[in-house]
Amino acid sequence: MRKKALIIGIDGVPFELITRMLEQGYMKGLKQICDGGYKVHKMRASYPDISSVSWTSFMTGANPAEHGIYGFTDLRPNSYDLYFPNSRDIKAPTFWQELRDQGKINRTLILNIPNTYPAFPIEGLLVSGFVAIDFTKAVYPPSYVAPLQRMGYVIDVDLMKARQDKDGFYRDLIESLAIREKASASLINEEEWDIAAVCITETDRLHHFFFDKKDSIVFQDFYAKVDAFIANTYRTFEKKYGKDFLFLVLSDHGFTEQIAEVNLNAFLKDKGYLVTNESREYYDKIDTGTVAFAMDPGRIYIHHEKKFPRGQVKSSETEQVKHRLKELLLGLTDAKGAKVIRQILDREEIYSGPYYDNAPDLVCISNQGYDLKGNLRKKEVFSSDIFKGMHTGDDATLIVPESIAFDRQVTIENPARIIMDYFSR
Amino acid sequence: MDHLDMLENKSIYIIREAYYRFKNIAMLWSVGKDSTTLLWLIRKAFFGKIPFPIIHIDTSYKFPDMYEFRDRLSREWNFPLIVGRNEEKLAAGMGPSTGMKLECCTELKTNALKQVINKYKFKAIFLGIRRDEHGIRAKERYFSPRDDQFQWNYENQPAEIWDQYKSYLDEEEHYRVHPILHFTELDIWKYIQRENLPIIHLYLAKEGKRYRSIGCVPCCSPIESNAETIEDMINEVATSKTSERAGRAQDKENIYTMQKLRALGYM
Repeated sequence: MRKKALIIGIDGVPFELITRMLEQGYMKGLKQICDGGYKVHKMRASYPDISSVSWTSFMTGANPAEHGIYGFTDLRPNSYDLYFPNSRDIKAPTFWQELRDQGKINRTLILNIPNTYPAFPIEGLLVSGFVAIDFTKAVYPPSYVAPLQRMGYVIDVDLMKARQDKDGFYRDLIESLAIREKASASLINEEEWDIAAVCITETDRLHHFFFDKKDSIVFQDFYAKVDAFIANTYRTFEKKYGKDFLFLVLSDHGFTEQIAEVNLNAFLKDKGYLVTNESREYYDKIDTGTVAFAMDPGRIYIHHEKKFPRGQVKSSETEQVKHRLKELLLGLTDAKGAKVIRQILDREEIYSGPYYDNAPDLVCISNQGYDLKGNLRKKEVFSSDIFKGMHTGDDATLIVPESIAFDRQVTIENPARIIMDYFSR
Repeated sequence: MDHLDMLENKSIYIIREAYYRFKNIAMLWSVGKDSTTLLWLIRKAFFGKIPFPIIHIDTSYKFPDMYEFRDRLSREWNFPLIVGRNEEKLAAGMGPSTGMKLECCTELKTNALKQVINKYKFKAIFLGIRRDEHGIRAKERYFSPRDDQFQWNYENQPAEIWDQYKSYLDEEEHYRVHPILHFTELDIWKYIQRENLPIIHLYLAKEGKRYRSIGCVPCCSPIESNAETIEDMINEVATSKTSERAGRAQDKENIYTMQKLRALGYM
């Protein structure tokens, strides 16, 4: 009998929330599966805790300095040119590519994992997740485009709707969850897969716009549906391949209620560390005299003379500048005097690999509720929008067989290793 | 038949077909080279007289030469001109320098056009887009339905084969009609040369720079070029490897990506 693996991604589901949902009986299906020999672990997300970065670490088992993805946005080398990293920018191989190259597996299904757009060649089927623009470029091989369209498959709900019609947006989330469940069930039923990895995005969307309702029926109903998705998919797989397969459930980051958005660039500007020329666009606004700037969420870049056209900070000054920046940023407080930033990590502490040079110099970790932002548009340090939730990094979720033990903190880079080991045993 | 004649014939067929099917039709004219070519083809299709209004969406940020060209040509070719401006947003100070390019385009172009369509109840609009301009435009059809929110569902379009163009529509929809979809950038310049069409001189090189694509002043940048005549331009375009819209600030896929990221609070 060939080995098989089923992986279900639950975007943005925190350890604490899923634990509570399991205990309180809103996820009976998953509870039953877990009781049969699985354990729920708290997992460290990538730095920064952004879906595209974390899921890329999941796919490659590598840290950002190895896979090259540091955020939804980045700047081209030696410039201020903004670009949106996508699957083409991933520099490390995925676990399914490696397993396939080693002849350990044949066909893989990758459905809706973020940062897989444009869809790239795979033995099997890959349907891109967020951010995917053109559906015909989101499916490999392209022969699946039409069948998926006939199923009514959608990559994401209309996010703008959350601003106009929140109830309608909530209904859309439930509907797209149902469509995704149906699509994965029919793909698993009708074709042969060695690995099937299916991701639910709707949880992340629910959390962004409704996290203030995490203890209400809004969440309880929704999680019951997420539970049905997981349990039904598990049963479908079990019915087809028997009990003996590797089963993993994971999220890419956690979530918490948002207190305020904190615009780090507005703060750096107030303190004289950032100088902008407003006649230019996006990060090209950064002008001579700038010492450092931020990109979403808490990535801090020192304006090095060697790295940026208008940069003036010399290599010899780097350590001193870092020290001053840490002091400055750790001192940021809100109107009530509450500290915004909990910890600042030096890139040396968290990244290693061939793309280390592209890494932010510092990564800020905020205190719960302070949503760090790196835009250059907002003039006030503290702002608010319609968002109710924000990402957290230290409380993602990983559900694995009880037999798998960890001797140190579990991180998003671990699951790929677990999958590779399983197929290599 | 000569290549340009073939292109011209096809366009004129589509123009007449659309005019026959939609009584309340208009053309969107950016005053750039493509839509000016389309305007010329429409004149030809109706023997020198343009039988419907021509819409120009004025963001107020266009090059001064464009306004001058627009007014001169509308006088010389004698057609009714509708100028659409989102006055409310302009009065509120909307502009690209506020660091909101995306919003600026949406308000001053898209919404200004929506206002014109709603006011005049147009059922179809001629547009001078070309298939080779841009990845996403390659999926366009000659007759392309839009809903009242301007949404274009490119995954669900009527098939277009053997010149059978679908042109039935629901109450709230309107059609975009693209008679020069099959022209390439090079075809356009060759056609302009052959027909001796007027163009804005911004397209021609001055002191080593020219505009390959024109729109609003703050969002267009010139390319390095020594093409001072249309002849030079044809040679340059024929050998160029960079994208025509490279000098434009935004790429469609980037715009959508940014919209999606902003909707989740990024950027």
